Amino acid sequence: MVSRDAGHLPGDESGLILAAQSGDRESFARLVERYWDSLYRWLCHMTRDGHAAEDLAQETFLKAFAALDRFRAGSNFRAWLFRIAHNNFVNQRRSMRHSRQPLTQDFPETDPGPEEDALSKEALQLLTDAVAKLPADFRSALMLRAEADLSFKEIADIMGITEQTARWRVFKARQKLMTVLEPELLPPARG
Amino acid sequence: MAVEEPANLPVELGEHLDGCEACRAWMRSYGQMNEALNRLAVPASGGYGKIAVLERVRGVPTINVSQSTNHKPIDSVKPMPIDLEDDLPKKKRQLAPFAAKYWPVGVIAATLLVGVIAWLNLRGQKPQQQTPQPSDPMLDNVVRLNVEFAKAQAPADRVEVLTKLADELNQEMREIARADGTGENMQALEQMYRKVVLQGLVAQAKQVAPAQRAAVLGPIANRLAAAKKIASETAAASPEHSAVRLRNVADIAGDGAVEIHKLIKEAAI
Repeated sequence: MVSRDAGHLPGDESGLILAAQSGDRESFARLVERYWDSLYRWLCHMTRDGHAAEDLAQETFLKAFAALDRFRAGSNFRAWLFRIAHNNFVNQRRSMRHSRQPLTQDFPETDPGPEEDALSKEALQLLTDAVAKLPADFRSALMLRAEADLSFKEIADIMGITEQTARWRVFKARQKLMTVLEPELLPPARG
Repeated sequence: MAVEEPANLPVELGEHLDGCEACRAWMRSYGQMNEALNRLAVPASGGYGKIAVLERVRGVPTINVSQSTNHKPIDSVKPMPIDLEDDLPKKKRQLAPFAAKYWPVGVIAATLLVGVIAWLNLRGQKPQQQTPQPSDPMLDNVVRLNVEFAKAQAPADRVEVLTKLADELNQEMREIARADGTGENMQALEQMYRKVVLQGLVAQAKQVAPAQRAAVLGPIANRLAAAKKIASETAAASPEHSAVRLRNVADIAGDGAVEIHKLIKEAAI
């Protein structure tokens, strides 16, 4: 199971980016280490295929490395990286419409986590299935918020939509998931 | 649900929640759902993508075989059907000079690496073609692994390099599975994979000190198990002449994992 990457240190990151733009490859390698897991996880949710996600993540970082001189220092590197990933995903989806689709993988079971405030195994499976069934644009916006912790404005920039549309897609996705989960989560109304 | 930060609610909503148990219950469930969203399990990363990126970024030096001034003309380097029963010294004379340099170190495993390099170099080329070829990422990676192997002093390090080579071969097979019309390339790759895993990797694994086996070989066994799964899944979506090769690779990876687990168990007794 892949876990989320640990904390985000903006000050440290701008130093890494500047160093990488000046030719320090090790600094870019550290950025790869920092963002690989969250990018890979988001791509897994989008592609429903770990291998495709791995390939897209690889392609994304290599493109970012090649285009690093075009990144504007001081702007949001995470959002920039995810924008590249989103474009790669869209391009791949477009090309796969015309070819045979690979089988998607069964995802592993999620660890319920600490006992208090944890969803049951059944609820987690319902949630996993419900996320997978969301239309791609809604799933993308929702998981950019959940996995990558991006703001509605950043999600809008990545997906090429307005901030209002990004907010609406996240709202509708959350609404759909709560509708699916409510019977599992909430006690029946007393009548 | 349209709020960016569920923890930072508008004041009036907070006041309502203070007086409404049903809405508080709903908010708790909503919080559980949001918390679970960023913990949903995904398949473990195979690792090859990240390794490939890091090594490309770090600019690991590679030997460009086609541009080496010492390189023999391509048609004098025979493709290597890697066969360990052959007379190894005679095989050595046929190797390109850069391979001979690494001969003293881990003879068998070096032979495997060089064999893969030679096969990649010749793949798709006509015998009389001697112009420098565009960079082949897999060739670059395997040549780099050859350099790594030469520097590897300990069996544990060599096992790691051979595992990376096995991953490269597995990935190459997955990438060409649909495009390899005759199945010739897939067959060659399968043979190389068999040798790398069963005669290279497992053989080197036996050299790992018993005290180190669990720590060093445990992850290797897991990677072979993952390789088996990946190959099986790709086989299911590939034309039959490629699928049969991928299923064989899955079996080889599985056998390799079994052998590695046996070595770990032996050390534990």
